[in-house]
Amino acid sequence: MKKFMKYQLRDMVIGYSIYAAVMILLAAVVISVSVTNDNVNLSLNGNGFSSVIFCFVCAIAMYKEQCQLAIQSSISRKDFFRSSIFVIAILSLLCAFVDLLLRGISLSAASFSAETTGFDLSSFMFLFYPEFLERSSDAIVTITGFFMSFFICMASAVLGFLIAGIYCRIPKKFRTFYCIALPIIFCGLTPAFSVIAIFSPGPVRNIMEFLLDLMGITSGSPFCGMMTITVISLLMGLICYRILKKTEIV
Amino acid sequence: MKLNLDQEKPIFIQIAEGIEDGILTGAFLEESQIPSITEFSVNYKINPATALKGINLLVDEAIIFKKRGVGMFVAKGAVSKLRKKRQDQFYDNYIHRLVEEAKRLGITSDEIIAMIERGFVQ
Amino acid sequence: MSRIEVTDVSKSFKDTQALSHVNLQFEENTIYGLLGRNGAGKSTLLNIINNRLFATSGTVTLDGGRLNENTRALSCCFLANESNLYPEGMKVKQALRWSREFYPDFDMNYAQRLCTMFELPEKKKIKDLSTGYQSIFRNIIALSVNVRFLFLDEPVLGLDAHHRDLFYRVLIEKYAEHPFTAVISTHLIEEAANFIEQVIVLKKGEIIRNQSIESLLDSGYCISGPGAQIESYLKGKEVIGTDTLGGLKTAYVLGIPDPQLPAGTEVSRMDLQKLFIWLTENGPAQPQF
Repeated sequence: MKKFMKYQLRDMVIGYSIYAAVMILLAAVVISVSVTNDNVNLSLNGNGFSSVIFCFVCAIAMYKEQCQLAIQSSISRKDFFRSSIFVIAILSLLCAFVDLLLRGISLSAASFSAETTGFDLSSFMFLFYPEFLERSSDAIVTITGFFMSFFICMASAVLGFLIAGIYCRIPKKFRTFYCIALPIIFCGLTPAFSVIAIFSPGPVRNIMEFLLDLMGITSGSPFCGMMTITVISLLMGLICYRILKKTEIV
Repeated sequence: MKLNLDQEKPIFIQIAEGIEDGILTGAFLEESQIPSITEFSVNYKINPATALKGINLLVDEAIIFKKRGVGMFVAKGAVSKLRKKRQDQFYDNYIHRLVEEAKRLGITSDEIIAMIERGFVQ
Repeated sequence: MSRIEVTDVSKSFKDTQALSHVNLQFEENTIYGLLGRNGAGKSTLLNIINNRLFATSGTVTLDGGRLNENTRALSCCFLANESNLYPEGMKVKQALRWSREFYPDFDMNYAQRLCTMFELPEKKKIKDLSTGYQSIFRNIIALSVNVRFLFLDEPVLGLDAHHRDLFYRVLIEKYAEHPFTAVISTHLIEEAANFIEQVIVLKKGEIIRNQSIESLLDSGYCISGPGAQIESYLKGKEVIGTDTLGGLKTAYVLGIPDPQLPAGTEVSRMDLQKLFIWLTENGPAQPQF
């Protein structure tokens, strides 16, 4: 397992370095423009999301490129999976670190100029747990935000892995259909859900409340949310492993 | 030394006979080294075990001896040993077939003897 | 004694039975020839042994331990077949470098010498190589990994005569100096016949022959001579093929030649090509060993 992990890490580090460099560069540009021009007030929103998407895409690429190489190089599917999960975890940590860094930059920029609201780390925190943000100290927020980023990136990466795994397992003729159907399902989920909510508010409301409970949004506890995300990641990982074990390479 | 891989004769015997020919013609001198198993097998694209089998035939007859860590050498007195062996086999290998062919063509024994004498003169 | 055991392996795809109850042993330091027609199941068998496909039933073990999904055992094996499973954009040089990482006994110097010998450009991307050179690339890696069990699926496919000759020489030299087990699946029987020791013949997913090449060749003989003499000789014999050229007839017969041969006829060794064609086309109804 270790020998393949070396290969995966090397591959991952290259991609990550580019990502980190781009993010930091972007942040620097935004900040310097905001700071130097008092009338301009730029903020970078959704930077938390960029890490999530990056991890997602990385995981898909990793599976597709490396699965065949691993099996060809006398590495069992189990060892490939274990090695990949390690690498994904490291990647998620590194991405959370980038988010942390960006927050640090924004905070220090905000101290320079009153008008610069900068941007907030972990937009998720801002969106879902505003009371927590308010009642906790900067340090706690930073640490919680860091871990939140980590868990969400991890979940997103595992999801990417699962999607790639399904792709490699299904017969060739279904693959195009799968590629088209996926984004439609993802993008269609929210409007579909809203439509259902409109027409049958009762049971849907119960489901929504249950979900919010799980994510700790009703109670205002990000830790509950992190737990739920971890459980979801574990489940997805398990499914992915089962699929991988059945995948044949020709 | 050319191997005829389609022939009746198994390859390892052809290897042995080829080396014998080499010794008799002086291509492999007594007490000099002969090519290694690897060289034989690569050259003729045969399995090393086959080459080894052929050479071991000669080792058993004390025509070739192996020096550990160095290689394989032609034994002293190999030439005379081989000559004797081939002389003993001469009748079976040549005369028998010659007479069979002569009978097929209707050549008499006197005519054969005359031909043989002619051959030695030329 | 290291060995790989294939026990009662069967493989079925949606509509075909690719392998049926295959039982085989691969001993150490032996060259095996895996022969069979197109679609006989050779590639499927090699893929199953090397953890690429899964057997529908049966097991494959190395020294008694499961080979399937076992990285430790699998690192003693290497399969080179026509699949190109390297990442898009990987160059030959990188592939060599990573092979050294994945296989601890990989000999980089040897690999580079082979690249020079075969004129394989190290800086080129794998997918940009011609079919012949992709085969050469895979063969170079196969020859350099130094594993105990090497599986080569049609290694000389697409190679010109010069490269084929070179490949055999390199393979034999390597085998002579540091013996290992090689299982070579090929169509080019005549070229391989001189160096393979054990022959395994597959027909429609079943093993019909598994024996040394000598015993296979000794299982029959070739007799040629005047047509009439041959005809009468053949009565009551198991003939697997005949060639006729005017009045001259050649027949390929199973068994041992009669002690008394008809006048004007000559007996020689069985032709492996002819034997193989007969085995895989008509052949015996029952597998024989």
